[in-house]
Amino acid sequence: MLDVIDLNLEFHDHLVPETVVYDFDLHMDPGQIVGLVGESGSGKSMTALAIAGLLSRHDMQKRGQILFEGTDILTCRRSELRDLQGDDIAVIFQEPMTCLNPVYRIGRQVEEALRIHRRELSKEQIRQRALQMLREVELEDAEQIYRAYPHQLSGGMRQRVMIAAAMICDPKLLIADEPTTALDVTVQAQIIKLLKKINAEKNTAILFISHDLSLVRQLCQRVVVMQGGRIVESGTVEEIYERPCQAYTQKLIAAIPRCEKRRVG
Amino acid sequence: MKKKRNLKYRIGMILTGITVLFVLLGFVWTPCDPETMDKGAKLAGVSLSHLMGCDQFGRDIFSRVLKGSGTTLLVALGTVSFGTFFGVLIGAFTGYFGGIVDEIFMRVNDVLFAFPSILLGLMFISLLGSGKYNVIIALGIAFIPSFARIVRSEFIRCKNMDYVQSARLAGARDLRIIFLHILPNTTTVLVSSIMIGFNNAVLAEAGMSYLGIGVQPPDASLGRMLSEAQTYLFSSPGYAIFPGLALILMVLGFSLLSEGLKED
Amino acid sequence: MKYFAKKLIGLFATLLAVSFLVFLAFAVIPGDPATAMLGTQATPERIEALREEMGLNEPLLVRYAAWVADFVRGDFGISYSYRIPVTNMIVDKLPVTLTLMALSFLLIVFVSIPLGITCARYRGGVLDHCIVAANQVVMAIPAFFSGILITLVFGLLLHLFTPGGYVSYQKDWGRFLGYMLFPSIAVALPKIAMTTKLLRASVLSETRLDYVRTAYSRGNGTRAVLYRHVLKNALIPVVTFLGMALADMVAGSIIVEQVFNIPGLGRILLTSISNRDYPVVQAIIVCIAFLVLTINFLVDLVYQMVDPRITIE
Repeated sequence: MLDVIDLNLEFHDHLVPETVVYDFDLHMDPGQIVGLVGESGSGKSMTALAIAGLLSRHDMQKRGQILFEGTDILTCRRSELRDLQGDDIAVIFQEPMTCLNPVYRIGRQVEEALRIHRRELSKEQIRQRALQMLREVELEDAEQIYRAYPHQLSGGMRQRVMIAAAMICDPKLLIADEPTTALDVTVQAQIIKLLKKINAEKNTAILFISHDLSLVRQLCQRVVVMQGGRIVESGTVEEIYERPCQAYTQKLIAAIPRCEKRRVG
Repeated sequence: MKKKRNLKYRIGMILTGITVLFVLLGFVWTPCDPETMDKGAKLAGVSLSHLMGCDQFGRDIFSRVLKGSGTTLLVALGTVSFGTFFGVLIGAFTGYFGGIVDEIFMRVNDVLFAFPSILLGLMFISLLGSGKYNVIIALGIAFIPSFARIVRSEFIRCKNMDYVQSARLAGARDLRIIFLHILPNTTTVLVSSIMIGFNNAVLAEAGMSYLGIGVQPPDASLGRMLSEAQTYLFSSPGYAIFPGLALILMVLGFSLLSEGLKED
Repeated sequence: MKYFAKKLIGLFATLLAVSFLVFLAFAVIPGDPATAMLGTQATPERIEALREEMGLNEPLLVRYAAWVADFVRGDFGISYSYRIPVTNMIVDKLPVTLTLMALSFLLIVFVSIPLGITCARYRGGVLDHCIVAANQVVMAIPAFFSGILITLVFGLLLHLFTPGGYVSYQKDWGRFLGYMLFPSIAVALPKIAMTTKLLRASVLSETRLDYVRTAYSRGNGTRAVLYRHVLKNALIPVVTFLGMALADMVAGSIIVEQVFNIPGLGRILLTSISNRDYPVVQAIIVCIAFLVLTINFLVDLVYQMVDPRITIE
C-alpha cells in the first residue's frame, strides 16, 4: 500500500543545504502498524510529514518516491494530493492543544474531512457520522463535545477529538506523529489502546512515530529505528527488542524504564 | 559599532532629512518673501522664478510651503512635548503610587481615550479660540491620555523589579526612583509612542488648519493652503498638490523612520 | 448575558462621565451665555432675567442634572446663534455622517480583507511588495488631501461626480449614496492601508501555527485554509483595531465632509465652534462620544463572537 523508496529531504532555507533525511525506505501493508523510532532531530517527524504530503514545496528539495497505492505523493498534482489527504491518509499530531482551530466548535472540525471528501452527504448525515465518531473514540456525552470549543476540553479529550476527526473518512493510513508525547502516562495508555482498537476494527494501517520504545512495543508489529536522518535498524518488534544489533538501539531500549515523562519536541 | 540599518529606516532617514533641511532653510531663507503679493503673478503656473507657481494673491507657493512646513513641524513638536511632559508626569505618579488617585485618573483617562484626539482638540479649540499656540495647547491636552496610559503601564511593570527594590533598599527616595531609576527604562516604549504621536500631531494640525480653526494667518500653514487651494483646484492643481506632497513627505518619512527603528 | 449586562452598565457609566466632563469644560469657560445670546448692549436687568430663566444661577450639579434630564428626553438646548432647538439642527444631519461612516467601514472591510490575505499568501512576491509599499504611502496621506485628489481626478478630470453637487438623502437616496461614495473612499483609504498591513502580519503569524497544518492534512487547499481557518483567527487583533479606527473615522469624516461640501454633523460643529455656539458644540460632542462608546461596545460583542475563548469572565 505504502512504498517509500530512497527518500532524501534537504532544507534550503539556510545557506548550506542541510540534509535531514537520507535514503529512507519503508514498506507498509494494509492494516499493519509500523513504529518509527528515534530521538528528536533524527528526521522521523520530517519523514512523517513528507508521507502525509504536508511539507511545503518551496524551501525543501526532495528526492526519491513516496508511493501511496501507486500515486507519488512528492510529484503528483496538488489536487490529487488533496484528494488523498484527509480521505485515504489522515494525520494526528503531537500537540492536541494547538492542532485544533481555537475559534471553531469541535463538531465542525471533526466533520471537516467529510465535508470536503463526501460532498454527496447531507448535513444531518454528516452530523450523525461525527457524533458516532466521537462515541467511537470513547468520548462520553458526544452531543456536548460536538458543541464545545477546543479550550473547554482536556488534553486527552482533544487528542481523542483529533483521532475522531482523522478517522471520519475511514482512511487506509493513519500517521500518528508523537500523539501521546504531550499527554500524561495514564492518558497515553488509553490513547494507545484506542489506536489498537481502531486498527483491529477498521483495519487501518498506522505509522506510529515516537521516541518512546515502550509505547512502540505495546502497539506495533514492525519497528524502524532512525538516527541522524538514516535508518539504522528495522525489523519485527521481537527481533529489535530481543536482539538489537546497533548500539544506538540498545541505548534506546536501555533507556525505557526511565523515559516515562520525558518530553522531547 | 556600525550596523547596517534596514531599508525602511534608511528611506525614512532620507525623507525626514529632506524635510528637516527644507524647514531649516525656510527659517533663514526663502526664494521670495512668502507674504509679498504680486498681482501680475496670480495663480501663475510652475516656472523658474516660482518653482511651485503662485497662489490667488500672487504669493510664491514654494516659499509658503517652506514656511508652512516649518509651522506644522513646530506645532507638532510643541504638541508632542506638551503631551509627553504632562503625560509622563501623570503616568509616572499614578503608576508608581497607585491608590485612589490612580483609580480616578485612569477612569478619566479611559473616558478621554474614547474620544478621537482631533475631536478633543476641536473641543478645546472651541474653548480656547484658534491660533498657533492654542492649537499646541488643545492638541497637547488631547495627547496627554495616550502618553499617560503608556507611561503608567510601564511604571507598573517596572516598580516591583529587582533594580527598583535594591534602589529602595539603598535608601533612594521616591522621586529619585521615579526619575532616575524607572524613567530611563521606559524610553524605548516612550520614544516609539512619541514618534507615532508626532505623526498624529502633524495630521491633526494640518486637519485643524484645513478646517480654518487651527493656525491663523499671517502664519503660513500647509493645511490652510490646501483649503484655499481647493477653490482653484481645476485651474491650478499644483497649488493644492505641492503643499499636500510636502505634508505626505513629512509624515511618510517619519513613519518609516519609526517603523524602521522598531524593526531593528 | 451577565457579561452583556455588565458591559452595558459600564457603557452608561462612561457615558455619564463623558457628559459630565464635557458639561464641566463648557461651564468653566469665561463668558456668560446670557450675554452671548443677548449681545453686549443688553441691559443688566434683561441679562439677569434671562440668566434666571435659563437656570444659570443654580449650582453646577443641579444644572448638570437638568441638562442630562433634558438630554435624555432629546432636548439638547437652544442654539445661541440661531435661537432654534439644537435637536432640530442635528437630527437630520446625523444620517449623513452615519452614512459616510458606514460606507467607509464597508469599504475598509471588503477591500482590506482580500488584500491582506492575498499579500500574506504571496508574501515576498511582486504583488506583495507593491501592496506593502503602496500601503506605506497611503497611510501617510491625510484624509482631506486624498479627498482633494479624488475631487481632482474623479470629479474634475474624469467627471464621475460633480464636486459640491451634494444631493440630500431626503430628496434622492440613490444619488445621495452615489455622491457619498467618493468622500467615503477618502475617509477609508488610510484605514484600508492600515488594516491591510495589520491583517497581513496577523495572517502570517497565524499560518505558522499547528492548526493550519491540521487543516491541510484534511485535504483543504491553500484558499480554503486561509479563508476558512486562518481568517477568523487572524481577525481577532483586527477587530480591536477596527474599533479604534471607527472612532477615528468620526473625526476623519468631519474633515472630509468639509472637503466634499457635505452638510453633515461636521459642518454644524465647525460653524458652531467659530460662532462660539456652545450648546451646539456640547450636544454634538456628546453625540459623537455616544457614537464612539456605542461602537466600542459593539466591538466588544463582536470580539466575543470571533474569539470563543473570551466569554463570561
